[in-house]
Amino acid sequence: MLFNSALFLFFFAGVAAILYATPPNLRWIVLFVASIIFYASWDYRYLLIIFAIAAVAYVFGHYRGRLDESRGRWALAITVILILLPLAFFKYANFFLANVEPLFGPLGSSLPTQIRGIILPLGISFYTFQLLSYCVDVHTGRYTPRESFARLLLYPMYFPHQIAGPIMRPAQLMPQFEAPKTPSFEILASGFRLFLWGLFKKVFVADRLAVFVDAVYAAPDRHRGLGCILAFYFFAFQIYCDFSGYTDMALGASRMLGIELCENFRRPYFSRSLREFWTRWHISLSTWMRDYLYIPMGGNTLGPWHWAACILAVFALSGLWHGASWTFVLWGVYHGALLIFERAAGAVTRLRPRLWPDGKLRHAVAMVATFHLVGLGWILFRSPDLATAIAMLNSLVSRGGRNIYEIMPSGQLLLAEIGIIVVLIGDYAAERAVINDFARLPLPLRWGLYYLAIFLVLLFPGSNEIRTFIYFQF
Amino acid sequence: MRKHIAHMVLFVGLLLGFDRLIYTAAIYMRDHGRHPQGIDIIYQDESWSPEIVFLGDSRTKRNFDMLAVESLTGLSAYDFGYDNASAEEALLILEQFLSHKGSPRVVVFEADPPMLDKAYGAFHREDFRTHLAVVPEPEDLLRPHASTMQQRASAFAVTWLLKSASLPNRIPDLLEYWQQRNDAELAAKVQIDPCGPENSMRCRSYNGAVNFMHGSNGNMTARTLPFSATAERKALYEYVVELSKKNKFSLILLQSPRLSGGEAYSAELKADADSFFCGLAQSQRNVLYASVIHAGGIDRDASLYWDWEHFNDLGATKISQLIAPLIVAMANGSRPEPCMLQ
Repeated sequence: MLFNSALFLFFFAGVAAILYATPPNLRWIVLFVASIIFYASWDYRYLLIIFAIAAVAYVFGHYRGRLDESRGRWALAITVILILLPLAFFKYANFFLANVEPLFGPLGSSLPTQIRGIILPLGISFYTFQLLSYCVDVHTGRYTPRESFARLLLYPMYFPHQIAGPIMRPAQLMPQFEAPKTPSFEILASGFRLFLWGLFKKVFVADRLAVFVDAVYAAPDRHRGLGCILAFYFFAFQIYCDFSGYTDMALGASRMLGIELCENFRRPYFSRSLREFWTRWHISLSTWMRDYLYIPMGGNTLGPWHWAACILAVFALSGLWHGASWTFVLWGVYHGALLIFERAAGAVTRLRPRLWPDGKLRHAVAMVATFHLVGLGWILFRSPDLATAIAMLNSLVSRGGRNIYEIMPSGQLLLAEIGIIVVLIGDYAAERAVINDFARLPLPLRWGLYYLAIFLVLLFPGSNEIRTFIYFQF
Repeated sequence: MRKHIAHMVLFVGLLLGFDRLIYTAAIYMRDHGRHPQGIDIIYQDESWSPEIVFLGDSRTKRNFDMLAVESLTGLSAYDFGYDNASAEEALLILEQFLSHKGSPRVVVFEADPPMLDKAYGAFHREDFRTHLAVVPEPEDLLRPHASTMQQRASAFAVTWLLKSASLPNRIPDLLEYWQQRNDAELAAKVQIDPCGPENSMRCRSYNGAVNFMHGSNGNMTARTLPFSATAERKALYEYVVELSKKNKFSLILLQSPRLSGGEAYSAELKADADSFFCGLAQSQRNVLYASVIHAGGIDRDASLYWDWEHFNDLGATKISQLIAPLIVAMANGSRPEPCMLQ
């Protein structure tokens, strides 16, 4: 049941109607049942995995208070391992087997190279991380568990953020389940607006760019030059519009149900440094990595070399979290290395400010450079294997590829470009606070924009099929 | 509160109003555009139903002359052949035709042996986009009741709520149809136009067929067409036979010739295909399997071919003359024999 499908809209309307008609203290039950139905619509068998690891977290949460510090630490370690087991098996078993075989030389040939029939349970990376933060927060005292098992289950399963986040902390979400308020008209309208904006980004922009990007990445050699250059830019916007579109829809839908989810994107392509980029892109994962990995590993408190090692390790793990493939690991290491370089370069420019004088030009150059460095990383992220990534890089600087209109008709390309411009204008307006309060715009203009967005999505979708979200594979 | 509810009602009302306006305009453009082509005829003129319909790929679209068929049989005919169409696409066209009051007396369904391979031909969803809100998946054609909740929700939404959702990316095409509305008179019967910008060849399109290609393009070398019959395609042909019984039309499973067509696939594969199609024909009295690939030496005369797989105008007329008696016999319910292997 994808957010960009008619089935979800019917489902959501039904859930909202029932929720509003239910007393606030019982509303979590409506959300719980709806979330079970939502997940079961993909594959009900995988509900057992969530139930099992939530049970482990529940037991830990409710017995942690009875243990002393030392035993509590052991209990936490065992709980974390148990919670990570399904993720390790479903997501990384085949990656591990494929990579361990060559290490054993002739002996390795007797090992299986893959376990057949493993299907990655939807959203497993997200709900695993959420339950880990529950356990760690209980252990460190940042969260005191009071909820029933069913209420705890709702925490990772709450349907607007179940499949691809944002990754919420228990203290952010659990209290809201106690008695969700009926949203006011203004909040409803704001949720609707956010949902519509996300839908536009996904259906009108990301899905259209995907058609071009998929064709180029399927055969980079055939699309040398302009085709690859366009795919480079298009994928940067495709993944942004796809993931932030999903997040906007999740936040909007949740807001209409009376539950606020945390911000996950803050106009990341306006960043002027890699460091800033990671405070604006997939914020809930970045902060999770910071709080549960980087800081416990020592962070920047133990000297520059330790810091650099922490950064590389955390980003490599972040890459691996995205997918069981060396391209994702390299993508993470690439970003880690860039951050280290950026900090070193920053130290030099602070010592010699004339080398890189502050001002509008510097900001513009930094923004463009950051965007392109991030874009280069996306090549690793998007490529199914290293060979494709290398072919893409080669093709970017080569000439003689096919006519781009063979990949996509001119009309569709124009719509793709218009979509990117609209998204950039929208983000710029938000960044500069040009439109502080959309609700204060004159009603005909506001409604006109709503209708325009709705009919653009209906009449000119990027794909005539309902396309899934990129982050659903993680 | 009351003001907010009024706003919401007004917003939804206006949304539905705009939706119906856009949808009506789009359908107007569709129905008042150029002369119907391809499957347009199914949807645009329900009062006219051809008595003979041809279904298949480019070898159906280009190999027959509907003018000749009509004059030789005395029955109206229409060619639904589509370039590179799969058997699934042909089946969907047939189902659409039947469900829109089409009541053919004879259906000529292409039975070229490679069409028994699931990988042969493509299902061009875009061919249906102008007319169908929800194009079924090819694999769902034989089990039409297995639609998912998702499909049912989409179908309900585009049928009853936002009808313009059935027009994804179709407005530009419909606008183009409408802009070509003045061509309608010219094209009412016989349309003659250049077949492609890259050559000076002229085509005649009449009732779906494109069979006025003079001469040849020089590509006369037969090549091997590897294929292996699949269970899915065999089931599809069995389903077509069932449809013929249910809808009371005669079915001709026709294998038309290629130049030196004997070299296109092995004798063993051909025998297997013949055996399967013959079996189908023997199971139903209203079904005929006609393999006319050598009839009258038609596969040896290069002057009849545009390329080694497609006839030119002369070949199209000749094959139409060859099969016209079979069509008449089947239309009258007097099948000469279940399998004709010529």
